Amino acid sequence: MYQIVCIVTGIVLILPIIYAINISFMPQDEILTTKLHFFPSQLGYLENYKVVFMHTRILRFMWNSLVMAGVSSIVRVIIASLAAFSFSFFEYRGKNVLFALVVGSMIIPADVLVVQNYFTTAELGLINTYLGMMVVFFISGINIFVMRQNFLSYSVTLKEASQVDGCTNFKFYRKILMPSNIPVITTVFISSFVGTWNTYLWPLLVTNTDAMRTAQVAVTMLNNNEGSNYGVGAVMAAAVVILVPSVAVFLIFQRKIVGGVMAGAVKG
Amino acid sequence: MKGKTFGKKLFQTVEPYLYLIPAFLLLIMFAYYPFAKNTVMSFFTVNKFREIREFAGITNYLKVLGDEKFIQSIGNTLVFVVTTVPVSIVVGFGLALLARKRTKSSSVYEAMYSMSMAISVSVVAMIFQLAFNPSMGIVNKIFGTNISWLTDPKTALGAIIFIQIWANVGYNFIFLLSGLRGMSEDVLESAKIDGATGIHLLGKIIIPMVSPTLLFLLMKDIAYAMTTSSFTLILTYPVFHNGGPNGTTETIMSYVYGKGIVGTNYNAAFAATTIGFILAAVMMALSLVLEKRKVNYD
Amino acid sequence: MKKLLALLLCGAMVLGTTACGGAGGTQSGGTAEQEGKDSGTQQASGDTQEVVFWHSFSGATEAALTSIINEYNEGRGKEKGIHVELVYQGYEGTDKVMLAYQTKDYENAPDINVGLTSTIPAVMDMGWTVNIEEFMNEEGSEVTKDTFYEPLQQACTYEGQMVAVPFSNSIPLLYYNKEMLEEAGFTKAPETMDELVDYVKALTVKEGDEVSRYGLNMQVKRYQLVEFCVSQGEVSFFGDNQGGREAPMTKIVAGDDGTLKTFLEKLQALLDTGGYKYVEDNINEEFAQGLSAMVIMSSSRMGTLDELMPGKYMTAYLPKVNAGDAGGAAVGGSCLNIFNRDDDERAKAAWDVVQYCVSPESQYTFSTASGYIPVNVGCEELDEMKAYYDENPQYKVALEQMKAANPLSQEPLDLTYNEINGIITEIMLEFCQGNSSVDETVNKIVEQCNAALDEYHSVNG
Repeated sequence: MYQIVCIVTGIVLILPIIYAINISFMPQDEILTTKLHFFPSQLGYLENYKVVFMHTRILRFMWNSLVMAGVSSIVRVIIASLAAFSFSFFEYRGKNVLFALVVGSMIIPADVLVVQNYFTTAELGLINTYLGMMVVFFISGINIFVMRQNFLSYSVTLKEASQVDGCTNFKFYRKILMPSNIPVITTVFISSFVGTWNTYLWPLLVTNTDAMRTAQVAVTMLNNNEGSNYGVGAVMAAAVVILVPSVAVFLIFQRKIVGGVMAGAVKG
Repeated sequence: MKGKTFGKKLFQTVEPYLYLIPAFLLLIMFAYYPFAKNTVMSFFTVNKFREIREFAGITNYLKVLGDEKFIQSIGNTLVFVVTTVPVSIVVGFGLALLARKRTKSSSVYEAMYSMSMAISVSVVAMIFQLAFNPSMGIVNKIFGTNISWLTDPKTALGAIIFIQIWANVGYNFIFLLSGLRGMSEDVLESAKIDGATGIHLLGKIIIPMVSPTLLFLLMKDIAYAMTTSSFTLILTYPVFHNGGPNGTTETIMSYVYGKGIVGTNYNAAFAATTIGFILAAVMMALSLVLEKRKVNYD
Repeated sequence: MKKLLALLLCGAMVLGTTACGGAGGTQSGGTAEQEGKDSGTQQASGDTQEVVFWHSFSGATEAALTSIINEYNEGRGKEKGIHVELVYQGYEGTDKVMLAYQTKDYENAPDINVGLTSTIPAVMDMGWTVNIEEFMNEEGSEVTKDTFYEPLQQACTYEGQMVAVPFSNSIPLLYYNKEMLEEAGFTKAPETMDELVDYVKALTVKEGDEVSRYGLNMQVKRYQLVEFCVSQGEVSFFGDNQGGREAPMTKIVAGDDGTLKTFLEKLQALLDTGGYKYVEDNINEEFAQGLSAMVIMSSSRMGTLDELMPGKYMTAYLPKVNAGDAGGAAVGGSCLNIFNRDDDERAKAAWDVVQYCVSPESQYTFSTASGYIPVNVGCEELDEMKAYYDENPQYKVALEQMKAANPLSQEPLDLTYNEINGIITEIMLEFCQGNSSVDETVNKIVEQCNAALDEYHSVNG
């Protein structure tokens, strides 16, 4: 009974996604009806998916997104954890100011920085490269913040004990701190991966060849308001296709976060 | 020998800074430098190529603050913050409490609850654009209404807030769930033995224990809501070419986008950005005060 | 103990993967760079001259352009040693060219870009934009001014020179549902706004207080407002300096010459019918669903409507504001710009591609797929085009309407195009909601647009 309540709640929550999936299997005239019509009336209508695979190089785009999101998330975890390590286990001058700078970066709206960052990236000669697509995603104030929070609750005495054993600070970070904080690392990785996978404007701006396009661009390629387009069904089909990898990453790693193997991601 | 200890000491002093180098290098390059440049330029008159023409003092700020549309956008943004932030945290928390107990089907509904996190803003926008569409959309069909949800000034902001809450819930849920699961069962059990139940247990034991998570989500959601523009830009800009209808969905950042990127009027955009940043900083400071008083790291 | 071991193992694995991942990262960064370079070297190397063509088309329009370019690459391009790479850029294309120009990024810019005609003044401010008139005036050029219809020549003219090439140009049309008009006893489309009011009254269906079918759907934004203003009288200009074509526009004249007020009065009559929907939610789909009997929108929507409701609709000229108006509707849409990045040969190759794209045959392919007007005067002479027009008379209406219009009836080159669009959309919405009178609306539009133009000139002048 309890489980049924949980699952029904879940279905209500993902109704919008089910809706999108259903639409992606409907022909145009079925979408256009004014009558209530939730499920496709026939099974196996695949035209919308054909449009997606025929008119965009979606697999190539998805590969690009995968490289961009995967690599930048790993780099981000390393950079953020190092910074968080410094903030939570050391005492030094200027620490509070530096941390305030990290927190402050969270409220600098990324959209506003886009044009200026384009100039920087262009000066570095990174237009049309994977590195150019990724470099702005290497850093995230929020990730440093959440990791610091997590490390803070990690016993300082443990670090002192390991020092007595002759363990250097970096070794402590590498051998003890990181392995015992897998849940938070996974959380940061997932949120970073999903966030980067889902960005649209930046990769579109710094790349201008078809070979470098990302998955999100495929959706807009099909959803052009002016002039002709392929219809709502194709757009939803594209949305469903590019949803698959991010949901997959999610499902694979999600157990790590909430699997209860190790206690506490952002620990209470 | 002496040199070695000196070296060691020096290393000890610089070591914590070394770990910060990559983070700060990138922060400076891609966040603070461009932001500082924007801020400096807000005191100048710049042309459409973002080239400085002359010193303008605070003229740009006076102009923006005199624009009733900008004032309206500040109001909308605050409404956005005080609705989306608490509601999406409370809903996320409720779901996390519901899912806390592990059952056979846990992984199924955990995935469902957190799914909204996996979908890009533009796809979320497209799905809801269709759902809210007055003639084709499922919403009117289900409720038998005939409302143009996204283009009627009475409902547009509400619809966008609803979408934002849906989009936030997954993220909040997953963080809160791991917070709850991380709670020590012993503490819970002993509290229960002491006769703590229901709301009391929640207020006195559970909430304090997940307070770091709550604080983090509060900070993140406020930061996000203060700087948000996505749904306005995707859903109402194509129809009204501003945060319409009648400016009801204009946020501070969509105003900036409209002036700067769309209109190439960077004078207004830069000044509005700085003001938006200051307002967001005040909100963040308020929630940090909360950290000092309420958050429990033990 | 076992648990701790497992933990450490786990950690080592994570660190291991991160390390590998890091290396992988730099590697893939490297390959990407190489790919970028590859296309770069290809562009420069030896026999084949690479030409990069940025566009913003989707659906059938994109398919048509792709087939034209493929034909070129395999035929004429091969002979001349030119190869075109077609790249979708979305609407950011023009902005991206400008960013590339500002960063002097010669490598990552296109040779040809599709841009809205209203961006012509901004595009011409860039040093590397080619003035097309110079190419057309060269001896033996297969494309000259006379290749294009006069209204299209005028649409691409700025400060006396035809600086860009007409390509994806459209014109506003009245679309109507054939069956519905027939049922209501109409045998032809409305020709004036007064007639339009009667039609809307007759075509609107109400269930109680709720409208279940609108007579007309059209949201008045800059595009629609401008069209109705410039079509009035013999010829009217929305802004000074002939709408910004002879010299940069400095103010709106539609207030002083009365065209704005006249249009608003007619629009008020439409609003009073209660059967005119003044906001566009999904105008194409609602029209296809039969939720509106008539719509006014660009001819470039015909391709989409053919998909949504084949054979069920017909088009007509934009209704006249006053019965005696002779200005006619103005063409809108996009043109092709060529950029010369210090490589004359390459710019010449781009010009060859552009000439191919506007040939009668290419324009036949492009126009019939999209609803854009064929820009080449020779196109309507083609047998296949004649046959197509016989079968799809709605496409011919667009062409005929353009030919019937005064060539000077044009969209203005208002330098703050987007801002003015926002201002007009906002104020017209208030007007349609009944929150602003005709005179107030005229004043607000003129004042706010002029303020935007003043500010533009004060910082860019």
